[in-house]
Amino acid sequence: MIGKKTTSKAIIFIFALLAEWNGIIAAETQQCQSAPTTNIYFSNGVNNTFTETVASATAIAIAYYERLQSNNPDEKLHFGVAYNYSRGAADILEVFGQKIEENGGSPSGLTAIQYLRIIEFGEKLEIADPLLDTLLNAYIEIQKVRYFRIGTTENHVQKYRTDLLEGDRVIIFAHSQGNLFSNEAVETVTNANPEYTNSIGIIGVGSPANRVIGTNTYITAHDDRVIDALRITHDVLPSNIDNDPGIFNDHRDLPNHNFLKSYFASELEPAYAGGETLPSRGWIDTTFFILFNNLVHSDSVLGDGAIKVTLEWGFEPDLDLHVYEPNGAHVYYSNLRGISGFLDLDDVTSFGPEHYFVSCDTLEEGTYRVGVNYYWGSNPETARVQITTADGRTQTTQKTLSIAVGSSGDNNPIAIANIVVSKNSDGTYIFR
Amino acid sequence: MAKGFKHFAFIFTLLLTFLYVPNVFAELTIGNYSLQSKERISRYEYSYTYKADITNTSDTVKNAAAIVSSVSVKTKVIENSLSFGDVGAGDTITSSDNFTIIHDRRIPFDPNNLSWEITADPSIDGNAALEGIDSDNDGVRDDVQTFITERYPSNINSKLALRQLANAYQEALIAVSNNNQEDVNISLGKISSATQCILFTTKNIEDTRLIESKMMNTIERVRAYEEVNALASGQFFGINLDLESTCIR
Repeated sequence: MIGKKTTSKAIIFIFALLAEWNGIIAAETQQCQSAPTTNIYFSNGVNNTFTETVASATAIAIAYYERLQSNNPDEKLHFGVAYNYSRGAADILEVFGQKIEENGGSPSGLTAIQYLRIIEFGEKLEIADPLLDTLLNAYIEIQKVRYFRIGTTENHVQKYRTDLLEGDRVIIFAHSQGNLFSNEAVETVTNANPEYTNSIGIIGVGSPANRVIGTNTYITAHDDRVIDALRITHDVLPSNIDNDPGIFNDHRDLPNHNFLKSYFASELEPAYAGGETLPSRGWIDTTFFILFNNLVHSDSVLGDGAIKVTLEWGFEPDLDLHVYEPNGAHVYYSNLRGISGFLDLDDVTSFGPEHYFVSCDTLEEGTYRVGVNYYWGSNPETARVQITTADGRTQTTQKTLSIAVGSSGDNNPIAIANIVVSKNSDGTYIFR
Repeated sequence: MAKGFKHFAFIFTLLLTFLYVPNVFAELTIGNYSLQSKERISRYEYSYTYKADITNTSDTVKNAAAIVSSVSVKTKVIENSLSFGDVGAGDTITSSDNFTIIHDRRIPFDPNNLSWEITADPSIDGNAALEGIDSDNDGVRDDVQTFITERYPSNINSKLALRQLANAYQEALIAVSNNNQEDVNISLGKISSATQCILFTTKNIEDTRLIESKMMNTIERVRAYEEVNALASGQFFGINLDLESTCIR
């Protein structure tokens, strides 16, 4: 009887949510809207595929967009993915294959890929399979090794810094290893520019970190098996929430670690958390809205627009950003203003950023050619050019430049990328 | 009136008999419908039950099946699926079961309101190569296409959304195997859009995981997919707040 009651309540709740988030389709495209902006990113953890990460960011947008927009009609909201790759499933599948062979085959007849799906996404296993626990332990061991191999966070630093220089606010949902990336990136940005401390924040979820940055907070479930395993060998923040929805150590996904299944309990999951709101979701909602209400917009130093290009580099004295516009204008330090864009930051004192932007009003169809000239320096230098387009995508290209060529390179900069702008039949722009 | 209906029924049967509907497998066609029974349902409506033949003009396929749908409210599909089993090259086989439609005879029957989606497994090993087998060259591997049709037999938008993601994955795998980073970047945008389209259309995140799992079903494909993911690393992608616009329909 109690079970029945719970089920019907859950169904009503799910349908209420479905009805609510259908409304997102009515949202006007914000492609070229100029307004104070809050960027809300999802920074993923180990072994998350690109698709799962996009799905997580979409779930966050669906959960919060309408309420935020309704309460903050003058705010431009941008939801996005800050994708981090770590070596993923192929190695795990090989290990699983070996384990299956060692154990004389799979008791339930499952393939390595099917086991992986059960472990990562909580797919149901119809019969008891003692091999599953062996494979889960192997999975966790592999994850442990990967966690602390932090790759470059330079792209994240550059992106967050550019957002802040443009006057935006930044909120990062950091899941799992994404906490390590985000901590490092935010610390780098705020150490260099302490005035940004109140404009960027992290919501840590399932965190393997041993600290939080500034006043940021985190949540880790007591039964998160991945973080638990890390804690045995590493200095990891303590778990701080009982996230078990039932009384029998019920699991959300097998390791109780997946962002959508085990923490966010997304409306997009068919039967998330048995239809009940997880304690972690309540915490995430509260923390997010507090952060959203408390963060302040940084002072806008750089222009915003449909195309934004930033150049940063290492330690040599001077690199220069060059852009050839579709109309033929060549924009660089000696010609700051083109016909459609503007080089509003030409850095000559440090290591970037240099910044070029095209406002929505002056955007042209055609090809914007982006290049870099190594103007002054004595060692090989790496240019890091980040291009953001109004469709929300930011791509970073790194190019190593061997020798400085001074002004002789001004008319022949090293090609970095082409941005091809065209128009859809509905008037929106496409960027390639 | 009775004579008029007989005339209509004759034309109806004739149209069905000669109707060959374009379908997803270019080499497999459904036709030669044979009426098994008909029954008056109401004053204006009759139900018609048919068997049909499948003709294979290409290589042998396994487990051929077909699902019929109608876009007209005046022609309702009651039993929509036909099974044919294995079909050899050049063979024509009659379905082992029937499909049934109800038609309102006040409106002339329009065969264009019925369409068939045919699925079959390739008889050769579709997992032998990275790209697999895509018999109809629509950018979606046959095995994945079959899975999608089985998962959403009659919901066209859901089917399209899942196919959009499968197609984006296929492009990404081929681009990475060709070492074409620019095309991988383009396909990453398509994967992102298709993922959002599925969440808009089916509202079920499991669909994205299932397509990913069905597409990356060999170590070779998993490895190629990891390269795709690696190329996405450090990049930022926006979520389109107009989710419906992410769907290609």
